[in-house]
Amino acid sequence: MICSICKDKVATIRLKEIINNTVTEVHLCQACYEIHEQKGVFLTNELASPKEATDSEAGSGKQKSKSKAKPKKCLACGTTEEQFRAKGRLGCSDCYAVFASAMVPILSTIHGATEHRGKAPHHAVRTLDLKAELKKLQEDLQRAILSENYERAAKLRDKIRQFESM
Amino acid sequence: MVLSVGHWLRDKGPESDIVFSSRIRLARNLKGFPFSSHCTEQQMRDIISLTRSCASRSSPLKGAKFYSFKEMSMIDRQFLMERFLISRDLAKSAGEKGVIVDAAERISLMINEEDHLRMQTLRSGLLLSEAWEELNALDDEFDGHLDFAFEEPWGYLTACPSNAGTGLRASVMVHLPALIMTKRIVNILQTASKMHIAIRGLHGEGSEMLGDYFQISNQATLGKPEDEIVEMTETLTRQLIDQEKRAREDLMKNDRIAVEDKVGRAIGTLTGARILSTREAMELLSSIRLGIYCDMVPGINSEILDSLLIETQPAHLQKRFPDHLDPLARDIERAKIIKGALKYGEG
Ligand SMILES: [Zn+2]
Ligand SMILES: [Zn+2]
Repeated sequence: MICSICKDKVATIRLKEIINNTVTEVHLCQACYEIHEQKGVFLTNELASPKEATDSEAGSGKQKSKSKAKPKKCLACGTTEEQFRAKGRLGCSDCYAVFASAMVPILSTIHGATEHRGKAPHHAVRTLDLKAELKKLQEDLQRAILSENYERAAKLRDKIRQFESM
Repeated sequence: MVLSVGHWLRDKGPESDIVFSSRIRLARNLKGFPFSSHCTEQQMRDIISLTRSCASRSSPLKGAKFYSFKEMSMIDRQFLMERFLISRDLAKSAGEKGVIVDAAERISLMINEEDHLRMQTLRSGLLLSEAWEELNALDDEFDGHLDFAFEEPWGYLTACPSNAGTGLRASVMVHLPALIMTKRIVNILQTASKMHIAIRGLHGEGSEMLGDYFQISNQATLGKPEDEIVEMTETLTRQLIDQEKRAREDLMKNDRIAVEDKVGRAIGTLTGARILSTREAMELLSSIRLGIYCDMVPGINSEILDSLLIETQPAHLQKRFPDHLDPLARDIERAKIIKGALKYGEG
């Protein structure tokens, strides 16, 4: 069985999808399946115009790596940007910072967001708390300025400065 | 390992007519180690012992067992997967990996999967918030002993960006035969994809949809706090439950004969067949489950069916016999077991 998307590689994964209001079985190769999984969308669009979708993706990837002088590589684990793009997997925690610019569009496609909100482990709680506190102070400052309460605004500004020097 | 289904499934939770199970999973990695794919064997062993020592101090994990995959057979790993205790990915490969499972099989900690730790809680019926509370507490407890990889603005760092942030996957397995019979499922799936909710087969990513069972789970793990993710998944599940119930009512009102026909044929085949594949068995058991709800199958309850769903999976069948069964022998045993269970129910 040949992959329903790229119509090139051997399909190893069978999925049932709803396409044009009917349950259809689609057969995917590993690569197309991973792209599909990462996007977290149904296949409807890709199947409608199979070549286009994969071509444009490959195209944009090439352009990017051409325009950059040096391909990025994580020194801690050896993962290259190429490997990351091909597999969609990171090798270690450091990879996040190394591939940050590639990561942002990927995260916003998958999650519709790029910043974590939610719990944090004990060693990170302090910075998160401080960050939330700082944000609150800045909001208070805006409010104080809008309501022309300049005395309060001055005090808040001092506090914010203190915070930022920490 | 015991053959009968885990305790969690026997404690029927709310909405268990339609909801088979609720599950929360957290992905965590340990600071100071590369992700599993880049770990040496020694590092993987270290991660296993760190996790095991934490687990041994945890009260919810009292009496929990550790299963190492180093010397575990494929069948045993598949067996754990069929019980929803490990992922398909983890079942695929041996090595310095393993799982810690509590006695009721409600908690499982997968070690050295794609992430160092995949912690999950499993409940019967719709109990997502409870499952989250339980896992959240366990995560806090582990956080007291281990340093998890976490960095702003990403949140918890995971090997795949699709799990980053909270690392939380809330999933519910629902049985939606009437929405499929009435074809109303189509619109629902479209709405779900807009809500960043994925709907998949029984064993998650890449598994087939079988027996009208769907796994609903959040797609986005980043950008929303944990409780919001859990709540959103629960809200969508409640909508699905309502719609499935309405579809069942409509079928009973307008197309009772079609339902009776489907259920009757399923009983006929399951009590008469000598050879049953997993796929056929699941599809037919699904019809009977619908029949039970519609009072068409006296004497059989959904508990028997839910147990059969797990116990007639290939590795479960294989475990009943000391010698290797070929697929045909398994299909024959499957037919025998189902026939026996349904006869017992009728009596
Ligand atoms: Zn393909
Ligand atoms: Zn790295």
